[in-house]
Amino acid sequence: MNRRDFLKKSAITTGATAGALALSSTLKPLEVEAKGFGVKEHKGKTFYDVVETNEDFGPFSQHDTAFGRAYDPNHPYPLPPTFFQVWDAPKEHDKLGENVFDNAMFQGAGLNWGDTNNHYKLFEGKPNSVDGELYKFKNPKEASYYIKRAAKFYKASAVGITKYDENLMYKENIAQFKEQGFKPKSVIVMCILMDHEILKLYPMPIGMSGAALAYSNMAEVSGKLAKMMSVLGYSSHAGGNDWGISVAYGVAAGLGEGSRMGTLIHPELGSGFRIVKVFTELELEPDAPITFGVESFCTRCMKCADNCPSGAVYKTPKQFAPDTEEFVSAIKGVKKWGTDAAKCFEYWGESHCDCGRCITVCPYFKNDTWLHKFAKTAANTPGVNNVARYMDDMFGYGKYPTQKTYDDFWDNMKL
Amino acid sequence: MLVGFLLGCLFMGVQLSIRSKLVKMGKAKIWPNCIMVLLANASVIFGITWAIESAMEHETQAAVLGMVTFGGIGVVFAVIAYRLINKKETQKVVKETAKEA
Repeated sequence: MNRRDFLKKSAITTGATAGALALSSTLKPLEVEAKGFGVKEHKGKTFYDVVETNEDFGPFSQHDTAFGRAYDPNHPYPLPPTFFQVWDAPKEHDKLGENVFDNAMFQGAGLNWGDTNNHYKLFEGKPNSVDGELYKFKNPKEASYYIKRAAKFYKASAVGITKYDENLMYKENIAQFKEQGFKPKSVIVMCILMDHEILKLYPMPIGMSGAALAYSNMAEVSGKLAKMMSVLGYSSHAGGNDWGISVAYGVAAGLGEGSRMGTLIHPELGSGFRIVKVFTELELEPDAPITFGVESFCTRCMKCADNCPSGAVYKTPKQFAPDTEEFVSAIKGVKKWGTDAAKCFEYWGESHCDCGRCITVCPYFKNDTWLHKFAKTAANTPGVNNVARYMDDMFGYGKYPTQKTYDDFWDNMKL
Repeated sequence: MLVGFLLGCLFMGVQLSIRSKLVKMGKAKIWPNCIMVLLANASVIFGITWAIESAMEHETQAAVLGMVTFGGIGVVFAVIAYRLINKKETQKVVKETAKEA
């Protein structure tokens, strides 16, 4: 090797090393440990370290949620009864995605969704009575290991664990737990993936079948896990949207980050899943919260806000929700993006379905294949995330469903 | 899985055949050529894979644009690689002619 070659190779090696070091410091700050490519696990941190809260943060009343307001005509800010058209009003069978068969399929998909999602019935719920002798795990770590694997066996798409936190609970349910003498220590949070193909039909009423099926699965998965815990001698309670704030518990359990549209984004499942929780008196090892660039992506993207048929997703920056009529259903004392629950619910009534258009246009709403993993990783790279939304549009993802989309759903189904 | 395996085989096949050609030409150790050939091959194969995966998801627009975008990048790399190889050849010939003169 002559002097010229030596200098050239030295310069290349130095440049490559410097580049790698610069890149690794960008992707992996010192205070966090990596969990999967581009996912940062905040070991030793809690919900309060990754989400900004103030003194107003505390248990929220379930009566102030959009569902609570719709069901309670005596609420100071009731939501319009159009909401009930989704289930109770006569169907328009000449409307695309709302024929007799579509409606019947929705009803079938939601066979047992009331088991976890009928809000007022769940207020009467009781924890699973202990059904066996107390099994003592060596330590919380071992208990978490087996419980998580059991949850996956019961077909949870993803599972995380966090400590029971009254601030993340609904006021009414804390009182109920106390009345029942139930003292939860841990919360097992599970994601249940929804069928992406049928969800692409939102806001056609047939799209609801995807959510309804996931709710049915939520009831099964959480019910089975709660039963298992009771056989191990630990009182447990399964819950869907009730009991605690699902998105907050999802963040605390290291399952993802909150998004502009208010849902949780999981690094692999994206945006098309539902959350179910099991509260248990068994002490488990909690997972650490994670971040993977959703905050910076949602700040720029705005695809959900642009495509929301009712304009219910705000384009404003993250803020602490003010105490005004517009933000009655917003959780106070936490810095987050805002949505207008009233506008969203009114549109549910108009469209005869629970919409979900924001979820399906989201660039994170993709099948878990290598090409979307590649795109998600690229989207997290500084600089590229500015153009990721435009690439998503250009590639034709999140188009408004048409007659062809509806026909394709049936034609493309593998038998 | 099978598609991935077959495309992997295609990638290796193309890469090895180009490399053997470069070896015959005595240019296999000129690293800019090798890198450009590798990038061109990888981009085209990536574009094809993207198109197949997108078609399997029934995302026609994504399939077409994936092929155009990544395949297009591959073509650009291929043109650069071709020109680099020929440029070196021309320079070498000019130098040798000058020496002989």
